[in-house]
Parts: sequence; C-alpha cells; structure tokens
Amino acid sequence: MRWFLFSVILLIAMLLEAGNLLKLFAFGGWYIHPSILITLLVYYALACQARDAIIISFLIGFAADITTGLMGPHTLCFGLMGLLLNQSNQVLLVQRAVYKVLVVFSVYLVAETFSHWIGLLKEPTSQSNYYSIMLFTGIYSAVISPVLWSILSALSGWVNIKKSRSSRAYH
Amino acid sequence: MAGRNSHFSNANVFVSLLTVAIVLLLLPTRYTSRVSLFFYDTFESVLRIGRDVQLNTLRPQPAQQESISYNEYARLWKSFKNLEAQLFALREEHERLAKVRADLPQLSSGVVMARITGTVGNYSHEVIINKGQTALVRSGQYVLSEGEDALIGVVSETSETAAKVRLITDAKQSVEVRIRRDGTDNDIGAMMIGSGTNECRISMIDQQQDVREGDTVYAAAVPNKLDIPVVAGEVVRVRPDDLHPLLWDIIVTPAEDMTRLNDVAVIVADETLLKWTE
Repeated sequence: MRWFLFSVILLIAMLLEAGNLLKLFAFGGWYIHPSILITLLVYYALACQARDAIIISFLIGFAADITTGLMGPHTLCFGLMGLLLNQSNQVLLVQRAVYKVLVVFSVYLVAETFSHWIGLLKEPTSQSNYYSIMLFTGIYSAVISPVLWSILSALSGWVNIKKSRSSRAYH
Repeated sequence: MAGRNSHFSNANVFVSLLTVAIVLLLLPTRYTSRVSLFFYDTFESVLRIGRDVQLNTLRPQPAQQESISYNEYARLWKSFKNLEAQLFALREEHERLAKVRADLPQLSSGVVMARITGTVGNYSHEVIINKGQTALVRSGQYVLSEGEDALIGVVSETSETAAKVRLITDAKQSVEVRIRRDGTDNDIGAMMIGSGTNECRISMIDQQQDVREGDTVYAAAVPNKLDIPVVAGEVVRVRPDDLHPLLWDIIVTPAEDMTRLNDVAVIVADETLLKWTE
C-alpha cells in the first residue's frame, strides 16, 4: 500500500467534501450534494487487506470529522463500518453497479445515523429535517458511486492495494 | 498471514484505533474544533473554488427598466428598516436623557470584514470565515451581512486565523429579537431560534400579543455586541402553536439570503475593552 498516494486521494476527497465545487451540483432547497468519503470508505474497506482496511476506515472517518467540525463520531462509526465491510467481503461480491449503489446507500445511512446519534452525546442539537437531508444525500452519493468506484479502481494500481483474502483473520 | 508476521495483530490495530476514536470523541469541542478550523484555514483558496460561480448562478436575471433588481430592492428594504430602528432607538434615548451612564466605561466596537471560506457539512448551517482571534474575533460576536445591514449569525468557534459562524437559521442558534410594525409602537421582545431550514422560528409569545405577517424582526441591541437593533428578518407566518394553543408559532424569513453570502462583517469590541473585560 502506497500511503502517500492514498493520502493525496483522501485529501482531494476532503477538499471536495468540504469545498464549494460539489455544491455547484447541489439540488433542492437543502442544497443536497453528494458525499465522496463514503464511497472511498466502501471501496477501500472491500478492496484492501484487513489491516489496511481498518487503518483506512478510521482515517476516512477522521477526515469526515474534520469536514463536519465535530471530532469523534465519524472516526468511530466509519472505523466500525470499515471493519464490518471488510469482514463481509468474504460473502459479499460487489461488482455490478446496482450492488455498489445499494451498498453505498446502506452504509451511508447506517454510518451517518450512528454518527448523528453519537454526535448528539457530544453536542446536543435539534436540527430538523436531518433525516430527510441524510436520505437524499445518501441517494445522491449512491447514484454517483459507480463513477467514483471506476476512478478509484483505475487508481488502485498506483496506490498498490494488496488484495489478499488470507489476512482477514482477527486474532 | 501477513498480519501474523508483524508485531501488531489486526485486532491490536483495531482496538488501538478504536481507543483513539473514543478519546477523540470524549475530548471537549473547544480543543478538537481547532483541527477543523486549521484545515479550512490552510486550504482556504482551494475550498473557495466554485463559490463565485455558485453565487453568480443563483443571482436572478437582470430586471426590466421599470423595476429594480432583487439585490437593490433587498438593500433598500434593509436600509429602510434599519433607519426605522435607529429612529426608534434615538426616540427612546431622547426620552431617557436623565439616565446618564457616567460610571460605566465607554463601550466602543468596530467591524472586521471577513470572507466566507466554506460551509460546514451537509447538515449544519455554519460557515467558516477567514478571520480569527488575531483580528479580535471572539465567540459570541454578532456577524452581519456584507453591507452591515442584516444579522446573519453569531461566531461559535475561533482559532488564530479562522472562525466558525453559526447562521441564525441553524437549529442550535438562538438570538434575542424585537418584533416591530411600521407606524405603530408595537415592540415585542422574544427569542428567535433557527429551524434548520432557511427559516427561523419564534415561540413562547402569548396570543394576546399583536403579531402579524409582515412585521419586522430586529436583533435586539446587546451591550458590547450590537449597539443598535439591526434587522434580522420578516414575519411570514403566524399561527397558534400546535402544542401550546395559547401561544403563537411564528415563522421568520431571514432578511439576508444565506446562500448568497460571500463577505461578512463581524462586530468586534475595542481591544482595550476586551482587555478590560478579561
């Protein structure tokens, strides 16, 4: 695994997530725009070795926390989701676009819901429409995920991902 | 097998990172938010890419000759409302000439112009600005629109060179306001809370109070933060509260369109005053 190249990809994803460029493609009164980091999480958690997948998942969660401003909830949830996804790779073969869409959508909903609940422990809020925004963001993120998936697959040679199923033992 | 050969097992790595995540979660926000502000401050120029295009696409088409543009109308409306508020404040001051605050220190405040770097996440109504503690920006200070004619939010967190502004539409933000009507002495004090959408909400107002659609909502003057009332929005809906039928449920539309913000003005207290209060 070439961590420097992965860091560059993660930084680009963070800048897109936090910046204004993606908001050009936002829709609706809530300015719904897609999440890039969730596709990164799903892709690398399914593609990498167990150890790399764990580290990458926590790093992506940390990046998500930086973009949202509340540190901790995403690191925790993305880390756990990354572990679960990596384990489920033994029974889950995500190759068709429709499966990618479904997996990204499901993971986004679960990860964001738990992040929100954990975040409430740290900073109580009563933001209305939270779940509606989450639903539409999840759909938008899932719809564009096959495109991002293809880009990440194309870059996987550069990042030098080690796709080994024999290292999945947690001992 | 690779995991077994290395010093730390996969389980050890996972537990270690999980512990770090939990520690991060337990750390107070005032410490951890600096990381986020540092990120926004460092990549300010990159994060701003697309904002100008976004603002241009949101602008309405040029108006016909007989009418003025939306921006011009909004500017005139806010100026008019603010002049009214100033007049009201002066009249009150005139009536209280006898009360002289000679014993108190002379309060003076200034304005720091800042540029919006980006917005925080998909869910919150918060923006990052490129001025921080070095420019005397502190938590709790009021933030006005570029023309200094409408309240848009309150500074929630600061670092050396950046700050986070929570917009008045954010569900966590509450502001003390006055509801007034043109041509009347109607002046009702209330607390306005963001709804999490592009509106704000005022509750806990008795139905005996005369509040109507079209009434103007001003941010109340707060010593050391806002010298005179500044327009914050307009009442667009008044109806009985579903949970408390004796109270009004009032919806307010902010005077400033939050999606068009580019530059803002932070009301900062005089440096000597800050030292005095500290």
